[in-house]
Amino acid sequence: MAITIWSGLVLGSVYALVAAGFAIAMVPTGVFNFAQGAIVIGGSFLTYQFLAVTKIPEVLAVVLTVLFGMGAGLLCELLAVRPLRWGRGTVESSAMVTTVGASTALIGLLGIKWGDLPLQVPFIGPGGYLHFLGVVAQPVQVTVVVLAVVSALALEGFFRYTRVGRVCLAVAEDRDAAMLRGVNVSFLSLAAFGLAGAFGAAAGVVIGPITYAEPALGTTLALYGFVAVALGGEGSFIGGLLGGLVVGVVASLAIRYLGASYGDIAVLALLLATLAVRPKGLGGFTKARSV
Amino acid sequence: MRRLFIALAALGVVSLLITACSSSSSSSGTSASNSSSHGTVNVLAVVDTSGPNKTIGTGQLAGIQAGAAYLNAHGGILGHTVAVTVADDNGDPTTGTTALVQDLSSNPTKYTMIYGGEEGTIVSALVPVIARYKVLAMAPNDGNDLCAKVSTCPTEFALTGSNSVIEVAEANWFKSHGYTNVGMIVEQIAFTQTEANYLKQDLAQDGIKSEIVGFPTSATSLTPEMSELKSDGAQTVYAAAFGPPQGYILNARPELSWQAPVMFEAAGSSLDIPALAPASEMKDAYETPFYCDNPSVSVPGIGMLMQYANDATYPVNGSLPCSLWGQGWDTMIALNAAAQKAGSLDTAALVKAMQETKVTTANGLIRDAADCWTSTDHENVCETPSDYAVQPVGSLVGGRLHPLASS
Repeated sequence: MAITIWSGLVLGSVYALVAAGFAIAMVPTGVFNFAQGAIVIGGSFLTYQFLAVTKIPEVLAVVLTVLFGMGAGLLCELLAVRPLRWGRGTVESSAMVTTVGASTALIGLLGIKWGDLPLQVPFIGPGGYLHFLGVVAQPVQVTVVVLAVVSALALEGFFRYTRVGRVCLAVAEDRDAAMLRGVNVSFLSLAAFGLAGAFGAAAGVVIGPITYAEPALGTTLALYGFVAVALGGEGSFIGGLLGGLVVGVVASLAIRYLGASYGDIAVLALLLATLAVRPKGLGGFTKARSV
Repeated sequence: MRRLFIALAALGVVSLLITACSSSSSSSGTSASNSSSHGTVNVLAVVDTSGPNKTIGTGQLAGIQAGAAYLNAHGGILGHTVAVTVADDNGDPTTGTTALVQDLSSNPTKYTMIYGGEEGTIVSALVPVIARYKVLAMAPNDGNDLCAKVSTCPTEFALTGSNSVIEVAEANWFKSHGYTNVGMIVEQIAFTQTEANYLKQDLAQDGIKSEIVGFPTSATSLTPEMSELKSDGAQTVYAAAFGPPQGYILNARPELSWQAPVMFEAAGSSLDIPALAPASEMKDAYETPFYCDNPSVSVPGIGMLMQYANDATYPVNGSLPCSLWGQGWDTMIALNAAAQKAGSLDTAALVKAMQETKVTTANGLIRDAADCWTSTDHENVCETPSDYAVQPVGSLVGGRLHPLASS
């Protein structure tokens, strides 16, 4: 049981990190960037490239990877989201389609550069195995779980308790009103996508050693990250963390005790049941607030 | 709530888009001209280059293209240049069938030969189309037994023998090692599921209990699935998977404190498995390799064509991976052998010649000990389980198999 739960927590933490990236861009813009999964895997590929091929110093590798992610996020905003604001349609829903296009393009580029076969991404940290609470865990797994928890708490705190964070929430509440109050929503959107991209690529540094670097995983991570967001609540980092962990643990338990075919079924059943009871998800933020 | 509904609706759109984007049936290639009028031997490869079987399909396609390049470098087939056209079946029988019908209906004599699908399900879907248009065809297997009857496959030939030749070899290995309970962890794609079911039947005939645990292609961990096999009392694991899942399987063993031997099925063995996990996790890991012999190390097993990869006459000297390339390559070598025997590129003459041709390693160009067919059996009747040998997982370096020092 302990091993199954731990396996689920690790998997859930991966999804939670992807969900956090989604939320960073979503809070101030309302846009769900489906390219986030591809950016995460792009971070994994670059980590492989820098550490296993070119063998540059680890710190430099992380910095360059994060910069790549930031650039990819900015390009997503500029090419897949910003032009939508020039038209009359609903940006949030249209952007889901255009960001899927961005995701497909990025995954395609990754495949062209590194091929379709999986690459083992080196972990910046110790190897071997840790034994605790009846489980055997790799250090990278512990790192992912800790990082998912810490980043969710930090981001929740940032957006709730800092001036910039509250401005983002204000834009999320009413973009036009925020503009009238002098908020530069255009810059904020760009910054949010850049930050989300940087966060996603950084997540790829630690996710890659667990999942491998493979282009197709970009879509997989995006879909499960989406489920984590839907379950946890739109715009909530703590909710995204909970959503991811619940998805991972429920899937693992279902596979282990009901059968391998029941993993996805159990997750979707839980999602539907949760949304029926709590339409905003486990931690969706309340609309009415003072900012 | 409204946003959530929009989000969920968009998810549906996303899924459809992803499916649509990855199911292109358009073909691309190097030539589409009539073979006789333009002096070109046109070969159509219907393989998966974008879907769930792309690891297999692109490997086979690379072999076909390498074979074409080799033949062209040696004067072509009966003096004709060989050109390869690709139709992507996206790992989907319907897509493959549609692409083939569209291509052949406009000009049935367009191609001298068709490579009909990368695995059994696709092959079996293409068999009726190929039979209807009476085009010479070769396929990696018998389309789930369809080509055991010449009446079903009058112009098509399978590169492998009757069902389960490889799996018989694998079952023999389990039996010879005294295992009585084999856990099977199987990726949920048609190819691996078919292979696993063949093995399950073979194991049952040997009195060995087996349990299949499937997992979706989207899995990013297989520890729960491996845990299930462990709790079911499996003594060893048969893994039918491609890519990252192979690594997840190896990683799960130490996490479960379970050192059950793992055997990777033949097609999955084409990948460089040691690149997916630390060397310490390769202990008690086996594969049924389509590999090239390493002349510096004595390794029994099938004589894959890649042993000739470093031959000076080979077009991509020394840079080939040991993989499913062999099935595509063998196709081209067999076509050339049949054409030489027939002295013609006429379909009827090629079919007759193919039935009388026995291509052997004596000419240094095929992977099996021999490829041959008869007028009553269009499966490769020369293939036997003894052509395959289960080996400790080895590293692929520079196009050659290098067993790990520890193995």
